[in-house]
Amino acid sequence: MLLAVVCAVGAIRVAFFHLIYEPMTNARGEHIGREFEPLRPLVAGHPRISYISDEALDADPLAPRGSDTGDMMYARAQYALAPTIIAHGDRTLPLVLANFRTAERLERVIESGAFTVVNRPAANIALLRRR
Amino acid sequence: MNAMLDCVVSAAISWALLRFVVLPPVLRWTLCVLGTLAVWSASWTVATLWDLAPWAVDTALLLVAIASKALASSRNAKREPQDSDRVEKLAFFAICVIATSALIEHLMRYPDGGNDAFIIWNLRARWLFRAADQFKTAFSPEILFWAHPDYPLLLPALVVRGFTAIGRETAAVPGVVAVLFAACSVAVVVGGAPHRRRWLAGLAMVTTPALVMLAATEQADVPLAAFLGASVAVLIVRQPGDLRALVAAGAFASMAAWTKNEGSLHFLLIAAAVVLQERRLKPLLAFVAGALPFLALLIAFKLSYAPANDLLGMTVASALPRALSPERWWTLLTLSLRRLILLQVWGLHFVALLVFLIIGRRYSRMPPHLTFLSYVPAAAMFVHAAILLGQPHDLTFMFKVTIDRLLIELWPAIILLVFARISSPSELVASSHQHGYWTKL
Repeated sequence: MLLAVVCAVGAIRVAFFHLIYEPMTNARGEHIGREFEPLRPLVAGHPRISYISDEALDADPLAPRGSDTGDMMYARAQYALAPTIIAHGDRTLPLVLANFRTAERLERVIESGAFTVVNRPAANIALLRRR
Repeated sequence: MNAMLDCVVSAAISWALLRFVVLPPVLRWTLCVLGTLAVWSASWTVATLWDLAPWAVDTALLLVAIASKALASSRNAKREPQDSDRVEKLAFFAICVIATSALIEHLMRYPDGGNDAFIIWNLRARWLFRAADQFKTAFSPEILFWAHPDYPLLLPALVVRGFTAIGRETAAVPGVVAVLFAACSVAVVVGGAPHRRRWLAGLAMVTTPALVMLAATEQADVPLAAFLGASVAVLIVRQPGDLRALVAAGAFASMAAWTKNEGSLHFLLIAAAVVLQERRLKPLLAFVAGALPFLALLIAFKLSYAPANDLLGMTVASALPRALSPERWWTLLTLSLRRLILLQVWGLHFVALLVFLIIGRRYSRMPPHLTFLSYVPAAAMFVHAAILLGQPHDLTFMFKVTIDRLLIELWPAIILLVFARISSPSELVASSHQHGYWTKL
């Protein structure tokens, strides 16, 4: 009897959450990294590109994690652009993926004159070439 | 065409090798599916990473299958006994329909899976598929470490197999793989539980909200749960002294190790349980012999391609103060207690387990051949707790993102062991006799 109650609660929870609550409250998700798709053919011949962002990355596995937003932004880009390695630690490569949280900060980087814009699929994302 | 041919060869070898072990029919078919998936994935990995011709790998597998058929006789169970409880059976299948609908709905809503799926598993799969002969870049230490390029390849390689068979990348492939493994993790419980209570055990598994949630987000923990559950199920139904069953248990435990790093811990714990239970060399050798192909693949991958695991850089001197901090212990305790009653993820399942451990345990007895195996889930959670305490990241964050996945890995095994414990010895023997697997030798 106890097990029947346990199973009933579980089944109701599964049915309610996935078949009623979620369809009512969550919009259908888009493919992850879709915003980077226009850049794929442009980086296809490059095994590695550099990465700049206004969000920090957790690059040291032994340091406490503190940059969840930056990590997720990087992960979405890497998911879309694989198998090109987004070398977050290498600032010397000719092609650079600029993946910013705010478009204004990306604008300032472009205005600095250090890069030319190869493609800018969104206001906060650009593929740059180092001058 | 080649991918499908490889799949047929993988199914042939799984079926041929499982003929040697006396198993209940549902468990046999489930293990056959799991074995096929694992071999299909592994044959791609071997051919690709070590540049072997796929036909050579297929031929080798076929030769093993043919030789096994020629060398030994089948030990199939003769008949499926009648089900005693039609209500439980009907309820089980009705809830399976609900759970599958929920799973498919979520998979269609979020086609790339949850965070771990796209950061680790699906990333690796599309990387290996897109890079073709430049596949080594998938294991570059330059990729952010959260993508874990050192993780084993069973799941990504299986998805690559699907992409290759279809001829393009599609989110349907990891989705189908997720549904298959979720179904196998439930079927393993149905197949390995005592016959009279098997639908009830299956109900306990399929109504666990965390199972649907984690399968729907395409986590590798569900495949790991299926392989681990398969190994435990074989150890539960095996006949005393049956070395062939130990070979099969070793093989499925090693497939768990080739799925995720945690699988290696589970493999070692099950091997330790076999050693402590049997206290002889032969059973251990049988277990290791079954595990050898996938363990060899795992070791070869780790030595040849995988970068070092990020936690290996942690020194005892840095981890020990964290692991011994009373504040972190208190945090872990309070987080664990809250998790017990988190209806959204575990329903009332953990409350029921706790009630059983406190009260029901006194009125039941674990079958003698499972004494040490029954400690495996607790030992695994103890090690996970130690790692959680010692790791450098925020404990609350790491607990929240890992605990459900660690628990679901053990969940089929826990349900199987609970049902083995509450079944009287006569029930277990009666169930075994009905299947013919304690009387055939």
